[in-house]
Amino acid sequence: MQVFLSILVLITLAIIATSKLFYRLRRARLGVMLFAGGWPAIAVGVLIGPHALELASDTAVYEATPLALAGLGWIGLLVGLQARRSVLRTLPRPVVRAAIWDVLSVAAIFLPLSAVTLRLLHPTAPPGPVLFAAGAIAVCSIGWSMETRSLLHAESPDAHASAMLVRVSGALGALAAIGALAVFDASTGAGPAAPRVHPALAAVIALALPALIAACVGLLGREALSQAGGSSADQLTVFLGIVALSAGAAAQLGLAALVAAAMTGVVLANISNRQTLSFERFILRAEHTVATLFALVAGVLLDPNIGLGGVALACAVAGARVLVKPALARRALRAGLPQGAAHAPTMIGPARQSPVALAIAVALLLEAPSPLLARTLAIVVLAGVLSDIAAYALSRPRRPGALQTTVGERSDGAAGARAGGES
Amino acid sequence: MNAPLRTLIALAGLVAFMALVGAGETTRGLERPEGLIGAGASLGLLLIGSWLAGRLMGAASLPRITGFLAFGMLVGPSLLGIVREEQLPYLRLVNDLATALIGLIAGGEIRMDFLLSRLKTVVAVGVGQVIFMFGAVALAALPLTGALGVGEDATRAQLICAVVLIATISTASSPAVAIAMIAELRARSDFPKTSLAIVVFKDLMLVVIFTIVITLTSRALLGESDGSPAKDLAVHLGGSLAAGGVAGAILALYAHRVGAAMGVVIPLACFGIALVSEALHLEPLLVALAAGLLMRNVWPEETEELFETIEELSLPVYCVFFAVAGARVPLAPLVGTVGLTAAALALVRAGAIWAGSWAGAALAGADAHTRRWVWTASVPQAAVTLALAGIVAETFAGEPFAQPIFSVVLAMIAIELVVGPILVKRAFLSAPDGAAADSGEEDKP
Repeated sequence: MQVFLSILVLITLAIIATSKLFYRLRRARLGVMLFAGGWPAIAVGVLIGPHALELASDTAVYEATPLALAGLGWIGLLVGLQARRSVLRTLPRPVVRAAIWDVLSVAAIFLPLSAVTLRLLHPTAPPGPVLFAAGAIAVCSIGWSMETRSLLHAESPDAHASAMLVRVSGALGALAAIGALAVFDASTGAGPAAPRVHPALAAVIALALPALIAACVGLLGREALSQAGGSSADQLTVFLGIVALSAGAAAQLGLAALVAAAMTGVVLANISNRQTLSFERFILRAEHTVATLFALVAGVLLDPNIGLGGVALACAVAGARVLVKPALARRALRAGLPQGAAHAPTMIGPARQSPVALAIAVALLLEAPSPLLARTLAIVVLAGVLSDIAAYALSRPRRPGALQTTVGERSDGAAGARAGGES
Repeated sequence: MNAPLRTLIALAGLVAFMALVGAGETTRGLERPEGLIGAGASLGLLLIGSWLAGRLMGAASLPRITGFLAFGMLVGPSLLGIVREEQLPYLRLVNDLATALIGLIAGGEIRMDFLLSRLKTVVAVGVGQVIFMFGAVALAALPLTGALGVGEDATRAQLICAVVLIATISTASSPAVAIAMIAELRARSDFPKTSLAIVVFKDLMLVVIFTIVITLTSRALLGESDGSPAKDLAVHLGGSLAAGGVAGAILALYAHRVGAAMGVVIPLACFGIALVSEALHLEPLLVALAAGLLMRNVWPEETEELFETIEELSLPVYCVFFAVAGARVPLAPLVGTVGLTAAALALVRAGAIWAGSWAGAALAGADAHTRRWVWTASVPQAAVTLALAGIVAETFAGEPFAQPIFSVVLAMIAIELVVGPILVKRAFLSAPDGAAADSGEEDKP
């Protein structure tokens, strides 16, 4: 009976998804924000997962692991492909400064905040798992969302200039977050060498192995893409194979899949030829598909039973994001902002969680599955939703009668280049 | 360095890389289900490795899907063992996703107006194939009953049931191979569509035939049954068609009312079909086939974009589907008595398909090319046959012939999967009207 009820719920949701009302909701500002974060898909994943309707059984959850790894590979590759030498060399200084300050602020504020909150909530828990969870939440807090269209109220050059800087710094933040994940992962005994050698050496090996995977898969990918030529079907196949291979190989060696995939993207971006560069359009075309499927699988994997303590932690992290990140971004990017743009609604954007945060939390969960990390994933998701809602509330126009438009009703031509990619 | 040599080197490098990764597999001291950790990497290996192998086959003017299959067999548990037996269950969801997409494509290829215009040929050839296959395989199986586990001390009932069951299973064919060849060759002429329609029609007939056979044989051997195997089968297969109808209606409704983000909706729909099929013990291929058939014929304009998007996603799907199929087929039965029995029955089956097709096509007044080549599309067997053999093995678990039949069927599938695509490609390429494009052509960017 439960299975039939679950299917009925799914069919109802599917029919609702066909309604014009739903489509309009998606295009409203809040709808754009929430869909950019993948939260509705995550909610559906939770609904069908083992903690709700149980349509996706525990077995199905395990069977979803290769798909989740492929999704991680895709996200990592996408981020890594941004790290082209020619692009990194020309990054404005304020952008680099913003990324560095962001990482430092996470180490100085978010890490202690998470550790203290977790310790207060679980006073008798051993320190190891508490620190691990705090470290995971801190790494997930690095960077910010690159989606700024929902924050653009006015068609002004200042607003678009600030949006551009937020997007570029967000993209760099995503790279920084994955770099931090690599260090965090290596320091926690990842990799095949960990049980056999000194921890310091094991950590070095754990940092070197993803690079080795990246080199091998990157070279293979380059050759395969050259052979694929201009064929869209072949390029898509090669691309999917690369993402699954890089992420899967890392997971098999006990390493973070996201790190290896990102490094593979870096290798591909910097040894690329014309074919490699031309296949990036598939990444952009497939963006929504993969992001939605990945969010669905993440929803199935997380454990929503976080209790009031988990909710409190998520609120604390979201609150810290709202208080710290926009101010930090304004200060760091000030030199690159036109006068008056520092207080544009787009500068609230850094309060929103980076889409890479979800991927980092899933990567850690897949690498070392545990109820703790399943709940940590739920806390990361909740913090993301809360920070999106807070950003929406804070970025609403304050003037009475100010024109509120849906995202789709503005001219897309004024949205600016997709540097760093939008979620 | 020429392209095939570079491909071969890339393939060898990939296999060596994965062998090393497999050797370094670590669980970080955590308890995990066996095979879970390596399944992700195996997915990547099968996807890109089969694609490279397909290119090698293409360079040798062989069908690419033969390369997909061969690569799966090579790296699978039967040979190199890089994809291990315990990893295969964790590729099931991915495989079901691929199966659902193939089913949608297959259903979408069958237009009722075309089917009605070719109805006489489809029905005559389909019925002819079933009659000839059943009769020929049953007769050929009689002297081979020793290899089928029916010894001298077997009862008459056991003998007859074993022969009837293997003859029935042999009538199944795989629409997936025909679909994959249509996509690979971009075959748009009437002949490939007719061939596919015959395969699908025959498999739908098999639903009824198998239900009757399993009911009668289980009554004969297991005593008065409450009809539960037949009931289960009717629910399994009939329910699949009904679920497909619902899925097709929802997809068409979305395509009509919203029509956006098809690239997201289709994989989600396939995910839904795979999930629901597993939960309700349905056959995902049939569910998706029914959905595709309904959409194409009831809402053709609304679902045009949907089918175009599906076609764009097809190549990686075929790579995964056929590579996993190859990895799943155990090659050990090919050695020894089972292998010889399977080879003999496969040969008889192929001959019967040819004879039945020729007779049916002649009766329907089909053209010479159809009479000569339409039999080829019915040679390959895959998922449907595996499912039926599994039902037999489960229903008659206590009988001596259950496991031998399963092994022989698996061996037959292996042989036919290798040979079948080659025959199908030859048939499609030689079609006189709107001859299929060669697989060497590439999409324009």
